[in-house]
Amino acid sequence: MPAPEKSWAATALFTDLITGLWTTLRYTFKPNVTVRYPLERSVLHPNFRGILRVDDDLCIACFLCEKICPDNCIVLEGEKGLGKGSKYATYFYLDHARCLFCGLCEEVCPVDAIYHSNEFEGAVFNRADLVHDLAILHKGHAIVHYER
Amino acid sequence: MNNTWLSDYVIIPLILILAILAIFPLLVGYIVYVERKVLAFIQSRLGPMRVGPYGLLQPIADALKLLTKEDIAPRNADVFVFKIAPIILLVIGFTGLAFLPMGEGFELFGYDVSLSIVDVNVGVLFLLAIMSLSTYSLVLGGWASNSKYPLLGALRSAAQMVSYEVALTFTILATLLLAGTLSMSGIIDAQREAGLWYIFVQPVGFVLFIIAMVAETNRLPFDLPEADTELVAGYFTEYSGFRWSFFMLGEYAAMVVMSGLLVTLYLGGWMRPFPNVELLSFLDFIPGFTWFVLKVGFFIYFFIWLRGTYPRYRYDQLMGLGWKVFIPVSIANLFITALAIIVMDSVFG
Repeated sequence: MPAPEKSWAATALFTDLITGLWTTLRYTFKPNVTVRYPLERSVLHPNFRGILRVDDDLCIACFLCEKICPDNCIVLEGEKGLGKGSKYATYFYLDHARCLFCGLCEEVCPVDAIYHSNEFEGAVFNRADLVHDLAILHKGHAIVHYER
Repeated sequence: MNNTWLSDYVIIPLILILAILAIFPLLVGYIVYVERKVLAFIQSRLGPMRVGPYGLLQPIADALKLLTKEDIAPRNADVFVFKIAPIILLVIGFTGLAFLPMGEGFELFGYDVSLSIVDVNVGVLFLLAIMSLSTYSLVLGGWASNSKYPLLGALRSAAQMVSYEVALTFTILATLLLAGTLSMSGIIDAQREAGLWYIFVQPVGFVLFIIAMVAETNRLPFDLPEADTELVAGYFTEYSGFRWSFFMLGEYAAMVVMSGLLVTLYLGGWMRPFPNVELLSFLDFIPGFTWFVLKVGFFIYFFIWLRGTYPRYRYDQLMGLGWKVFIPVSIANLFITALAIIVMDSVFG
């Protein structure tokens, strides 16, 4: 795209430079958009993809989440319970260090057992703690609300 | 008046010098704070907020941090020159402050106190000479670091400051023709007698001065010698701790001095707006120092405002602008001013 034609007078009077200054002056007095995170928390979108949780009462150990996961971060095993259609997960490991929070597992799950919570403060001191087993996935990771 | 030689030339200047030495570093800290805040507001951010209410203690925290940092000189650096370079810039900056007439004189304990520390009759000339010395500091610092980015920054600063100094001097000359004096307070008096600020007589000179001033103090959009994105930090890449802070102090002192010079030359120094209009004489109770601070403060804000608005110029654009536009325009401005003065003199006697 060619540069717009500027008249000689516009160059001499710095019209473009003054337009720039005017823009920044307006923005100086606009409300800021940053949130002082530990002191105030921003409102999360309902579709926010936070730390994964699994409701093991619902899980039917169909392996769809394990298959679709692009990072292979889910490992699970299931066994048949009593009666028809009562398969359940015996163990379920989810490695949040590998997870890219794409939401494919949540999308593919036929019984909505695996889902993204809206928690994001999952930092730990030990990488092994990022591998969540069924108990943690069920009741949720211990959340530390940072304050300073 | 019981002014004596001793009080005029030793005691009162000494007190003023100590006051400036004590206040100015803190002031620079708060200029940096304002700069960070204004830049943040321009970008819809908050700026420093954590140290003290609204981050007001941030400059003190920064200063403490800088003072406790290790003083490093790179291996193979020319240590003596490396260590002396920031001091040169700091001394130049503070010396420049001494020449600014910051307010009208007043009487204190029976002594006449003048608010310009030294009021020599060649003040403008001396100030220009002092300010152009600051190139030495940048070149020496950049060269002595024995590192490629400082060297590039030093070369750029030398070329840039030399080329913009020419335009700056021609611009100032036009004002000096009008004032007929080189003394800073003399220029203010001339504006009072003329009854108007020289900005109304020299609008072109005013604009030229502002732009050349930005280039001269190495501020954005002409901060080629520092150019964070290209040269890390330019000539002071290798500096740390308080030597680095000397460079910052010197840079901000230069900003204040240049703003003060601009205010003196074009905006009537410490005089209130429209000093000869009787209607505004109710403003007379405000001391001249306040007007000076307000005017200089505006231009400090203007420096920050420019930094928040414009991208950096390319080096050839900078040089082209300096030599092909500024110098011809400033010479033309000088000629027209001189011609106008001759014509006015011969017509009106």
